[in-house]
Amino acid sequence: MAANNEREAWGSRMGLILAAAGNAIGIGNLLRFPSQAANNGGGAFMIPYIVCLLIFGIPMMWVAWTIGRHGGRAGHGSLPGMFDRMWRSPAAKYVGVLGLALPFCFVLYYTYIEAWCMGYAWFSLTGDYLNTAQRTVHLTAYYQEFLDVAPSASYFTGLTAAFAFMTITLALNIWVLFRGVAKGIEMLAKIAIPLLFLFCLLMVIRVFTLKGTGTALEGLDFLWTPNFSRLGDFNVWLAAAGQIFFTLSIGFGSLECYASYVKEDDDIALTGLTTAATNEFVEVIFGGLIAIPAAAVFYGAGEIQRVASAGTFSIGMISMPEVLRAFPLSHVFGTIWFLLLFFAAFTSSVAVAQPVVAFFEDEFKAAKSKAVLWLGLLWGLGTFPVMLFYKYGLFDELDFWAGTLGLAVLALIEAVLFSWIFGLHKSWKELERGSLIQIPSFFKFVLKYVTPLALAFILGGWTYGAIRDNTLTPTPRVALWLNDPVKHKGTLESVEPDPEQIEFASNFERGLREQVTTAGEDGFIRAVVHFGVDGSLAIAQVNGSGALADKSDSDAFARYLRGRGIRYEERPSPGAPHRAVDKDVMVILTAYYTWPYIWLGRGIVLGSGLLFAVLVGIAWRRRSAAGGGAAA
Amino acid sequence: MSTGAWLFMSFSFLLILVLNFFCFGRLLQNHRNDKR
Repeated sequence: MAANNEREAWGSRMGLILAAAGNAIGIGNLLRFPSQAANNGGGAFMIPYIVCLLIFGIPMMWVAWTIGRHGGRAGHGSLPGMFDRMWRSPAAKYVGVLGLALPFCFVLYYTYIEAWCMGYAWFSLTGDYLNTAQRTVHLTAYYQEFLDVAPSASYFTGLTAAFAFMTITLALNIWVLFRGVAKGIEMLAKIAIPLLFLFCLLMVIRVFTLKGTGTALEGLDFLWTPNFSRLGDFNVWLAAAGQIFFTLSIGFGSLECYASYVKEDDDIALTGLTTAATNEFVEVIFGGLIAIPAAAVFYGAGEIQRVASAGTFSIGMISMPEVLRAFPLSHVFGTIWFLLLFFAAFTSSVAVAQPVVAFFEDEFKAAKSKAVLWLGLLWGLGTFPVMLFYKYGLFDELDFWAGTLGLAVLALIEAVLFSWIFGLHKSWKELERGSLIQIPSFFKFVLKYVTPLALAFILGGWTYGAIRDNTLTPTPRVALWLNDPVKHKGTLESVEPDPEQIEFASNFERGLREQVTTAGEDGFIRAVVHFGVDGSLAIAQVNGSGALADKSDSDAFARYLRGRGIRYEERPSPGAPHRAVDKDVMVILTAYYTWPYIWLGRGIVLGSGLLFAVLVGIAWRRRSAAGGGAAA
Repeated sequence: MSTGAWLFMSFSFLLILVLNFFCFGRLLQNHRNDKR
C-alpha cells in the first residue's frame, strides 16, 4: 500500500500492458464497433477508421502516457497535479479537475451497464430468460422491465434485481481498488484479459458452427462489403473518429493515472502502442466476428440491418440472448457471452475510477483505505439516481456530458498542452525517454497540427449535432408498449408509415409533449387496438391518465398509430420472419416528464466538477501552508 | 461473401495482426535482452 511519500508501482510490464488494454477494451469493442461499421459504409468504414487511428488514436495514446509518467515522477496520479507540472499557470490544476469529474461521472453510469452484464450472466446460468412450455420470455420487455423502463411488470418488479447486481458490482470494484495497483488492478487484468480472449474465441467458434436461417458468412458479407459512396459523408468520418475515441479510452485521465505508476525511465512509447494494438485486435477481429454473424445465422441476411441499427445495447442484451437461447447449450454460451461483456466492463471501470483514488492518496496523503472509502461513498450515492431515473434520461444525459462531449474537450486540452504549452520539443523528449521503439518524426507534425485539429473537428461535429438535433432542450420521452408481453408471442413493430399520416403523428406527439411539459407530470394513454392481418388497425377503446387524462379520442389515436407505422407482428417459430396477425392487444403510450431529471444529470456533472475544484483548492492551499510551494 | 468484403476484411485483419506482431515481438525481444 502507498505510504505517504512512496507511490505504488506495477509488478511487471506485461501486467501493465494487460491492465492498460483492460482499460481500453470495453463493451464498445464488441457491440459498438460492429454496429457503427455496419451503419457507416461496411468495409469502407475501415478507411476513415484507420486514418483516425493514425492521426489521433495512437498519437493521443502517447500524449496520455507522456503526461501520466511525467506527473507520476512528481507524485501525481491525477490530472490536476499533472497539468500543474506541465503548465505554469494557477489555472492548470483547475483545468485538470476535468480529469476527476468526467471519469467520476462516467463510472456512475458505466458500472450500471456492468451490473446488467453480471445480471444477465446469472440469468443465462439459471436459464431465467429461456422459453418454456409455461412461460414465453419476450426479451425486449425482459430487458426494459429489468431497468424498470416499461410500464409492465411481467418478469421483474421494480428495480430489486438491478439494485442487487449493482450492489455486487460496486462492491467488486471497490474491493479491487482497495487491493491497490499491483495486487488489485494488475491481478484483475492478468485473470480477466486472458479469460476475455478465451471467451471471445469460444464465442467465435460457437457462432461459426451454428446452423440457422442464414449463415455467419452472410453476416461478414453484410459487415464488410464496402460502400464507397458513404466516404463523402461527413457523418461517417465523425462516426469513425468517435469510435476510435471511445475505444481507446482517450480523455478519461485513466491511462494517465496508470502511466503515473510507471518508473521514470521505463518505456511508454511501445507500451502505449501495444495497448492500442491489443484493443484493436479485440475490436476489429473479435468485434466483427461475433454479434453480426450470430444475428445473420438466426435472423437471416434480410434482417441483419434491423439488428445492426437497433443500437449497441439492443444487440448485446436482446438480440444475442435471443440467438443463443435458440440453440443447444444456451446456458453455457449465454453465460460466456455476458461474462465476456462483464469482464470487458470491469477492467475499464476500475481504471476509470482509479484517478479519483490516486487524487485522494497523492494530494491529501490519504491512506488507500480512506481514499477508496471516500470514492465508494460518492460512487454509491451518485449511482442511485442513475438507476432510479434511467427511464427519464438521466443515464443518457451523463453519457452526453461526461462520456462524450467532456472527453473530447479534455483530449483537446491534453493535445494542446502536450504540443503547444509544455512544448513539442520537451514533450517528445519525455515520450522518447526509455523508449523501446523509434517513433517516426512524421508524428511530430501530426501531434502539433493534425491531432489538435482532428479533435477540434470531432468536438465541433458533436456540438453541431447536439444543437441541430435539439438534444439540449429536455423533452418528454414518448414510447409505445404492449400491456402484457408475457401473454403475447409478438411485438409492436414500426413499418413504413402512411405518408399522409406522418405529419399528423408528429403533430400529435408534439401536442403530447407540450401537454406533459405544461402539466409537469407523466402522462399515459391506454388503448385496446385491433390489428388486422393486412396491417390495418382499429381502436376499441382508449383512455388517458396523468398529464394526458383528456386523451380519449379513438380516431385521433388510430391516426397517430398509423402515422407511426405501428403494427403487431408475431414470429411463428424461432428464426422465422415476423408477420402481421389478426389480434386485439392493449397498447400503452407513456410520456415521461424528463425536465427535473435532465437537470439533475447536469447538476451531477457540474456538482462533481465544483466538488473536485474545491478539493483541489484545499489540497494546494494545504501544500503551500506546509511549505511545499508549487506542486512541482 | 463478395470479393470486396473479403478484401476489406482480410486487409483489416492483416493490418491489426502485423501491428500486434510488431508490438509483442519488440516486447519479447526486449525481455530476452533484459534476461541476458
